Amino acid sequence: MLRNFLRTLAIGMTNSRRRFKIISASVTGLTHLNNNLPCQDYCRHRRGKNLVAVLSDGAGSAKYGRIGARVLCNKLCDILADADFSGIEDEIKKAIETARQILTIHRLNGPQNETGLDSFAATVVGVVYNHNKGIFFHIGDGAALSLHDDYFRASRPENGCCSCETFFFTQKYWKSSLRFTRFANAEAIFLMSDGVTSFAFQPDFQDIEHRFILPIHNFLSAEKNTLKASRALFNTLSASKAQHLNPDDKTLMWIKVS
Amino acid sequence: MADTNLDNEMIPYVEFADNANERTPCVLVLDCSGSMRGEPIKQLNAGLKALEQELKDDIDASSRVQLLIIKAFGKDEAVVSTDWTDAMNFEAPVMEAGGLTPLGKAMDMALDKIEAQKSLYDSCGITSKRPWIFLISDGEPTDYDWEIIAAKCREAQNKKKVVIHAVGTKDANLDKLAMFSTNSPKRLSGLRFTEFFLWLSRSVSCVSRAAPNAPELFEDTGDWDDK
Repeated sequence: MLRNFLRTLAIGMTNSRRRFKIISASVTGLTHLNNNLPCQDYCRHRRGKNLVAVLSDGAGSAKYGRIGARVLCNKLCDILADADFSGIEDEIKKAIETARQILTIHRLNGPQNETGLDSFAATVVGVVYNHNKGIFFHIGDGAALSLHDDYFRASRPENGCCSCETFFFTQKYWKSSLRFTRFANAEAIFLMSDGVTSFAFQPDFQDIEHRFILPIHNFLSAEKNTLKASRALFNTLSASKAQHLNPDDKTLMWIKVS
Repeated sequence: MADTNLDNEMIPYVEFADNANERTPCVLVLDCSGSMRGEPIKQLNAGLKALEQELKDDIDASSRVQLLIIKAFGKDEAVVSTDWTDAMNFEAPVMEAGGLTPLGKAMDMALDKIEAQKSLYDSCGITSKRPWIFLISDGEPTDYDWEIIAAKCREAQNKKKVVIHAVGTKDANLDKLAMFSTNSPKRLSGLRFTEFFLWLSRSVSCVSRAAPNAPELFEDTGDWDDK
């Protein structure tokens, strides 16, 4: 457990229109634990005019995937928190491009150009929420989900020709892999890395796995002690059954909108 | 003061339903006719409970083996007692005995359920091992068209769609049970259902982990059958 780490992002934020309760946890998967590697997932949120939450999964095959994930999450949150929501798709593209530019001149980027971006490869799934409207942005696997009274909207994983292949924001043609999904009046929002998607959705991704999503949603909604809530989420994602079924890193960010 | 439960508390009722693993479907067709009343049904239930625990304790089998239980009983009735469930979620049903032995009807249902489940696997991109059917009876089939279904079962086995094994207790008519399978039926020693189900659990676990096209593992039956 020492090699696992818990990132607790539990906070109550208000403005005149919306209140958000945010809980997240990251668990290092068995694959990385067995190789003495840290969790490659990173997630962050920030509130300005918009609520922005981003989750990125550094590619296991990329030497600095974890750094790529961290830089991307931080830059997207910083830029999009106060971005104009009416043109949010362009703002998201600009923010991703900015993260790419930062990594192009990163000291660990050997060639100091775009060809060196591959070593920072990471997927990204995130949300920008403004008043009662939201938009998911997504490259690669992982997933996003918004719950409503009696339905859900999802941004589903996208893989390459093989299930083990996916898309990264560091790829040359990343814009063709960038997907947007709009939704409104969410009761709750979930962002998750690929270590969690198989638990959260039915195999064909046409429906959510109620036995996974709803207990988590109900528990986190009811639990007033945010430390206890985030610890319980961490423990749940760390369960031996979960680790055995899916050895990938597992990050889940839950946002309650009220 | 720290909450002493903080370190271990998990979110209750969360189920992990990862369906990416290759599955080994296993159907139990159980004779629950009137002649199973008393000690036989009691031992059968104890065996099912042992199967549940053994599969859940096996970290590979628990996520790879799927079970379906069909009950043959009543006025030639065949019903699904436990629908397809991963071993990790399997809860042994408590069977009751009464009525006739419509094994043909129950086996026909087993073949249909397997075909439907294989279609589901295909639609979900899940690979699967060849399904198993275990027919367990203390008597002989009583439904009028059981021989037609038995032929259908043998044909399915010859086409390698399924592996069928028949197991009979002391008074079972093994000659008739043998007609449901291309394999020789086994005779359960006494009422050693628990030993049988523990063997079944270990066997299905081995198969679920075996390489594709590995030979079937039915020869060493341990101590549950009359050799």
